[in-house]
Amino acid sequence: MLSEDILFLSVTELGKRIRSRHLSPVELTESYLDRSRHIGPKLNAYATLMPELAIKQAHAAEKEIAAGKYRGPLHGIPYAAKDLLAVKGYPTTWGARPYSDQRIDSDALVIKKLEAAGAILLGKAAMIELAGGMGYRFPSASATGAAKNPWNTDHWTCGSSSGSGAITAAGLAAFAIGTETWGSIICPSGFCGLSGLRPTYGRVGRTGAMALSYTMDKIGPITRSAEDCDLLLKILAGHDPGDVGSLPEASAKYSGAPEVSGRLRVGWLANQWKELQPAVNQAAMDARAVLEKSPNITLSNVTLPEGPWETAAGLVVSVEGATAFRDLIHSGGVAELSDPLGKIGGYMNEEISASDFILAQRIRTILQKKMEEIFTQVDVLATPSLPVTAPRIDANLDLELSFADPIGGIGNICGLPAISVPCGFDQQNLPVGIQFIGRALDDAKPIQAARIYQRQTDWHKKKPHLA
Amino acid sequence: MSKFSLDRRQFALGAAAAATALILPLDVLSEDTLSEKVLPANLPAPAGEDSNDDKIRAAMSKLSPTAQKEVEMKVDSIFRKYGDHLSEEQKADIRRIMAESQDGLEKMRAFKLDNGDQPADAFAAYRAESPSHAVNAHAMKSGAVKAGEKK
Repeated sequence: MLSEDILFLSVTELGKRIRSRHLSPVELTESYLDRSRHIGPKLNAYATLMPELAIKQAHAAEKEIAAGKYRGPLHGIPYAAKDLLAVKGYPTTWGARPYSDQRIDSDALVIKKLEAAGAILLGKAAMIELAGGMGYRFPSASATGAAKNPWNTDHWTCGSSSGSGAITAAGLAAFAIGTETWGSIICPSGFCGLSGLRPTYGRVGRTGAMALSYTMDKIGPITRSAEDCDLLLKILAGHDPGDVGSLPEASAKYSGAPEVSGRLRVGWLANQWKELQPAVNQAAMDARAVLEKSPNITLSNVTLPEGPWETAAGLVVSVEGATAFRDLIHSGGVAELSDPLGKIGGYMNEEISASDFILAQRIRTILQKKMEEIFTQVDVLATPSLPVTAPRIDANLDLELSFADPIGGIGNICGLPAISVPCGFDQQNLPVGIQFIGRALDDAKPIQAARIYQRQTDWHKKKPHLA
Repeated sequence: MSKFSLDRRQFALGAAAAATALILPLDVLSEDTLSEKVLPANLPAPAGEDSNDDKIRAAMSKLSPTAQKEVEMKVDSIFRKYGDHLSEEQKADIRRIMAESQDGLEKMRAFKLDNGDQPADAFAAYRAESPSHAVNAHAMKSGAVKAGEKK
């Protein structure tokens, strides 16, 4: 089996070694599978492991590469996909007991794209039931139980891409695919010390992905570096004819983040979080100091516009989720969900009036314009990914993960791209993250900021000690 | 601390109880902190110890009589439709969340809008050959398999 030093390499580095034939895709896949079998269950990381498919794809990749048919930097790279992405021939449970037997007879578009790029699918990552669409109060809100944080297994990974965070952080795969409607890539990336990208809404096609919020769901990579996020977005981005939210190809395609030749204008959101844990504050101050010293960054302070943005964002998700899972709610099937809030959330969300929903959509337009104005002054916004580190695995999240998150609401209701990268640890060895948020379709700029930061630091190269 | 449940865990509550960004002059911030306040301990604010009934009363007391009636009507509507599925504990949970949600909803409704402020998901007339609506046209024609659609 390959050593941890290999298994924790970035996709970019693994790809170079595979291309030069210093690393075998079969050996790499077998090593990740072996690690996934031993460590995965301890973390509740996977919903389904797919060794037969993975080995088959690995042998095919190895044969092609040996024959000189190298497909690109993902060829022979093993990954995991959140269990809301359909894979033909395997269960797609959406993390929820009512769908435990569900099989969808086609692959999701992102699965097809990754297969075409030569990536190897190891398995389906565990997730919060229905991506948290009916609400949840405990980390155990999943058919596979609470996902444990590889940095400290007494603590949670965050959701809803909980398994995607656990798998990547534990070195069980080279990367994972997650989704975000509100926080589900940024939060697990922050809590697990990973580099996770939420692309601009509409940039990555959603055919074959579970719908929670038709106007807010996004698909993105959870990786070990900003460079890897850039690489993955180039593969994943593009128009999806089966997705009404998909951007036209000219806008959706992504050619990568070029090197910054001048200066990137970074606006620090000093008042995003009302309260910060001391360790988060210290790590964020240190990160800010690193940015200030960079010759490629001009740092300033920025304030967010004031308004009911979070309420509007929450309301949109609530209503769209209530229609997406209408049958489950009306049938009383929500009672089969694991979480006490999930069992009743749909009933409450159905009571939101059409008038309030349209009101939220009108406010959304105004907010989009206000954010456009901010992005005439800066290229990227920056702030800690979360004000706290990961809560305990048995936490009541209503009490321990409960705070205002204006940029989370704003970023997601406006469909803005964002990336979270690690910037330190607290006393319990739990990671702290910093996020960079960009203008719609400027996905390259948050990636550039994160890449500049990661070239000056090595937090993203740390790995947890797992038995 | 204003309450918001991160990560769509509790949208019904979050939607309403969410705080808007508190804008302070930047010179209010001390030099050694990047937020308005650094928590003294490792965890967020401690849990309240009020009973569910206390929380319902507290939430309702902040509302106008009209808003209180709206909460009661919505709760009655849920119980009328789904009461058979719900335990007493779940009903109490619903009462509390709906009461706590209403304040944020009222604040959102107070946001000033002009008649011409259009919604973000505005309807667009459709013709299959129209380039500007090519995305929708493709989607309508494609017949692509959606998640949950079983063949």
